[in-house]
Amino acid sequence: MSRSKTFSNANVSLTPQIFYILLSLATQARHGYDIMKQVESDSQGSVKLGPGTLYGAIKRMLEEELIAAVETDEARRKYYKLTEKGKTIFSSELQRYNGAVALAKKRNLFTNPKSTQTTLTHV
Amino acid sequence: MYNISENAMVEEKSDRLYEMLLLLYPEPYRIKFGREMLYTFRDMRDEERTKRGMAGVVFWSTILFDTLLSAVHEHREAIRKDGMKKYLHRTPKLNNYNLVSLILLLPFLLMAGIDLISRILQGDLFHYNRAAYAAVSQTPLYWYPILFTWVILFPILAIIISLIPLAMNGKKMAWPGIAYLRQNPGSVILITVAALLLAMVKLHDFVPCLVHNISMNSFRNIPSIISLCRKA
Repeated sequence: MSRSKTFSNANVSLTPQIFYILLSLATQARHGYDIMKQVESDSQGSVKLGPGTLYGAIKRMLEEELIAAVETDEARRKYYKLTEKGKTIFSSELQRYNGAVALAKKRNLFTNPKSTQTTLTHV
Repeated sequence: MYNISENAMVEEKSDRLYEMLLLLYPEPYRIKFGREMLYTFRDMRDEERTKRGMAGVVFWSTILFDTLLSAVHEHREAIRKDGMKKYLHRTPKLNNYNLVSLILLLPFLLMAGIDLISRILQGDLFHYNRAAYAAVSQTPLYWYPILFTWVILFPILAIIISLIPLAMNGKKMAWPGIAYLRQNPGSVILITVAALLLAMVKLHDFVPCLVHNISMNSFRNIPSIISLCRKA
């Protein structure tokens, strides 16, 4: 399955990088470095983007019209914001996560990480 | 005052280095995002220096890894979108002269590749693989006039042909500098490869022998190692 199909089809999962970039832009427009820092913070360090990875993802998201560049007075920086399509796809992804979390709770699949760690240590 | 100018120099050097790395990306991509990527890199470097005092090996390894992976991905994307022919003309700026040069270098590159793989397979990079050499030397490629053609004549021709576009564009560009590389990366790469191949003809036994002996004996008796390897 190609990456463009991944972006275009709201029924298919986004990659973690794209998901966190959309999450970082959900509240406000940001420039590249700001996106990078927000993604690292939101993912608690599990997703780290370098300039190459970040702008590769931005390029594909621009092509898929998930995000758009914002005109600002700041000549040095370019800011990006979510488009309507980006909001829709991000929203459907959140709903999918929400459904999965609800199902996991219903089936009592959540475990306390601390208790798991203790058990493993004893084993 | 001294520190400020020293920092500025370090910053300028790291900017230049990152600009060189940006040359690895396809040109349309670099034109669109290169400037923003440089600004983002500067922010990352400044943060690293604030946190750790300097942007060290770990920082640069991360940047290098990130750049290489994403550059390969962008080239693959460019080939997928444009097709190979358009990509070769657009991205490494290979013009028709460069394509002819590349074809001329192919036999040598092929044989050099076979030599390298056979050395890797025998587990000894410092000596040629006798079995592979025996097999290859039976082919017409090793008949002397043909051997001379692809080993000496073709690389020299490749250099001359690649120099034609450089000579034509020479007046327009800054020399030396990144601008030169930006305008003619294909020609520069091909000339370098052809020159390296010609050097390999002369040094293909000397260099491995030198590396091997220096690794065994450290840097003692360098003159005697050199004289030994000249006979290799």
